[in-house]
Amino acid sequence: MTPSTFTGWVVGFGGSVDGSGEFADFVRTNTPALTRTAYLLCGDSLAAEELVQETLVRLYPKWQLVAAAEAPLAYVRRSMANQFVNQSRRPWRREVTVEAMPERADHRDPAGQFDDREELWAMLGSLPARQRAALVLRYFHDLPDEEIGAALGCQLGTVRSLISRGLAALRDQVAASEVDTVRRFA
Amino acid sequence: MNQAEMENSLRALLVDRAQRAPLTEGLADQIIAQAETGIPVRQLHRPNVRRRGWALPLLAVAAVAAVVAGGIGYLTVNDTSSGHGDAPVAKGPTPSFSSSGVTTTPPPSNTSNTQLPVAGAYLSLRSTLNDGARLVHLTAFKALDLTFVGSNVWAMGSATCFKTGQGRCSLLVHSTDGVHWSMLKPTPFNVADDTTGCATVCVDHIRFATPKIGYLFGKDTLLMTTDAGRTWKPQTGGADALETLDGNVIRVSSSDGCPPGCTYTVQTSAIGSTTWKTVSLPTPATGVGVTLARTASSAYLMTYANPAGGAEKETSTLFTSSDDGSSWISRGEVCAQKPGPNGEVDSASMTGGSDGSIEVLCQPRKATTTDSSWVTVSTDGGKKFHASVGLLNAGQPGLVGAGTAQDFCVQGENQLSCTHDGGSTYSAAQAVGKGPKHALWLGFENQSDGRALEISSTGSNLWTTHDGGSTWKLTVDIG
Repeated sequence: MTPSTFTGWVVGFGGSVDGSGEFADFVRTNTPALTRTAYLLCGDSLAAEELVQETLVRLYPKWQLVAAAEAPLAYVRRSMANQFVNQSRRPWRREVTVEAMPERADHRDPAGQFDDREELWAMLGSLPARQRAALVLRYFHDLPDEEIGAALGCQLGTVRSLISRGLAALRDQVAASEVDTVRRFA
Repeated sequence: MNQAEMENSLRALLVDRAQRAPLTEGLADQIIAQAETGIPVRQLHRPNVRRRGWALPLLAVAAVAAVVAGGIGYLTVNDTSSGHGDAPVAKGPTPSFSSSGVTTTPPPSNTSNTQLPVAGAYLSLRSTLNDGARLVHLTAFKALDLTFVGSNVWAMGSATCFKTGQGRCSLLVHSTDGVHWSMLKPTPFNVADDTTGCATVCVDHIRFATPKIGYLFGKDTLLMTTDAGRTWKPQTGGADALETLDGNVIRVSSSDGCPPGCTYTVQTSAIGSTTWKTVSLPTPATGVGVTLARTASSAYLMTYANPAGGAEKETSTLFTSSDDGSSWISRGEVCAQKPGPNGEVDSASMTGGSDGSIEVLCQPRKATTTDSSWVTVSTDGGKKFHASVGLLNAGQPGLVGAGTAQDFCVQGENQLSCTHDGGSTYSAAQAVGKGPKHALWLGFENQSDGRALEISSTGSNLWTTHDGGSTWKLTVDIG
C-alpha cells in the first residue's frame, strides 16, 4: 500500500477500549522499534509488519494491563516474540525444507574471521523459530535468561539450551561453509 | 570460529539488520485503525506469500460501446492482486444517463441500514490465495452496483488506486452487517466510472444468488463465482441484464456490434450452472437497451428503442413471463399513445413491485416543457395497464422504482418524486440535502424499504428509505 494514502482518517465503527488514546500514542512511538525486532525475528519486512500489527491488535483489548506494566515496551516485545513462536507452529508457517542453501559467494577469505553477514543472516533464518527468537532476545536486546523464558514460555534450562543449540548450529553451518569454500578454491 | 567470535558476529549482524529494517510509513495508523475497528486478527494477512499477478492489456476505449446503467463512463485497471495499485487507461465516452442495462430486481435484504464503505475507510483486504487479510486504505469509493443475499451485501465499484498517481481501480467489497466491509481479491474484472475507460473484462453489474454463487456481468462479459468470490470463472458471452431469483437465473444478452440495433437473446440457467438454455420469444426482442425485473416467479423484460432516432416509431416492447423465464408473452408498447403525428409515447423505464405489479414510466417522445410523463401500472402480470393520473415533469432521463402498485418513486431530470396512492399524487422526495436528487439505481425490497444510489464524479451516496420514499436518510456520503 502506498504510504501517502494514509491520511489519518480512521473509521471507529468497531468501538474502543479505555486507554485507546494511550494505545495510539504507544503505537505511534514504538512501532519502529518493534518493527526492527520483528524484522530480526521474521527476516522479512512484510512478515515483520504483520507480526507487529497482530501483536498490538491482540493486546489492544487489554491495553490497561499493558500500560500498567513496569515496562510496556518490554511487555509488548515479549508478547511479540511469543506470538512469533506460536505463529511458526501453525501449519502454513512451518519452514520449508530445501535441498540446498541458497547460492553463496566465493570471494571470502576462508582463513579470516567470519564476517559475511548475508550468509549469517540466511543461516539465522534457517534456525527453528524458538532458537532464532532466543538469539534475538539475547544478542540484540540483551535480555537475561529469565525474561527470555517468560517471553517464550519456557524454563531457564530450555532457554540456555535454545541459545546454545542455536549458536552451535550457526557455527556448524559457518564451518561447513568455510570447508566448502576451501574445497572450491582448491 | 569460536563461540565468542560467533556471539560478536551475531551481535553485529543483528544491529546492522535492525538498522536496515524497512519501516513503512503509516503502519502505526494502520495498526490503530485495525485495533479500533475490531476486525478479527485471525484474518490478518499471511506473510511471505507472493500473490499471483493479474495484468490486463490496455486497449483502446473506442472499442467499448456498451451502454452502462446510470450514466457512468469506463475504467480499466491493471490489478496486481497485491493490493498495491493498478493502472487505469484512457478516458472513456461522455457519461450519459440511460435506463438501458439496468436490472431492477428488488434486492431482498435484512441489512436495511447498510452503509457503504466510507471515504478514507480502512477495509480488511481478504486475499483469496492466502485466506488472510490486511487493512487497506480506501479513498473515493464509488459503488456502481449492489446486490444482497440475506445479511450479505456486495458492492462493486471503483476507488482511488492504492498506488499513488494510478487513477482509479475496480474493486468488490463485501459485508455481512452493512458496516464492516472486506475487499475481495482478486478482482479479475474492470469497471467503468466517469474518468477512465474500460477495454476488456468490463462489468457493470453484480448479482449474487446465494452467499457463494454470484455473477459479475457486462455487455461482453459474464463471470461466475461458486466460492463466494474467491475465484471468478468467465462464462461464454456477456449479459446486458441478469437476474437471479426463485432458483434460477435469467440472462439477456445481445449480439456483437450493438447498440444500435441490438437483437436480444434470453437464456435461463440453474443457479451456479454453466449450461444456459436459450428461450424463444414470441417476437424478436430488438432495441438499444433492455431492463429485466423479477418478482417471485414473474419476470418482466422491456426492450427500448431509440427515441432520438429517425422518423419511424421508436416505441418499446414489454415481455412478461410467469414461469421464471421459461416462456414469454409480448405486451407491446404498454404506454398509451396520444393522437396526432407527434403523439408517440415511449416506455422510458420499467420495474416490478414486491406485490407482483409492473410499473412503467411513460414519456412523450417529443416532449416539450408543457408535456408531462406518467406511470402506467399493471397488477395482473402485464395483461392490462392503467395510467396513473398524476403527471410528472417530462424531463428526461427517468427511472422508476416500486415497492408496490401504490408506492413507487420516479427519478426525473432533477428530482425524485414518490407516491403512495398509485401515482395520483406525488411529493418531491428531497428538500435540499434531504433525499436523492440524481438516483442512478432505485430499488425497493418491500412496500417501505428502499435504496437509491447516486454517483457523482467524486463518489457515491447511498440513501435509504423506510417509509416508501417519503423520507430518505443518507447513510453514507462515500465521496
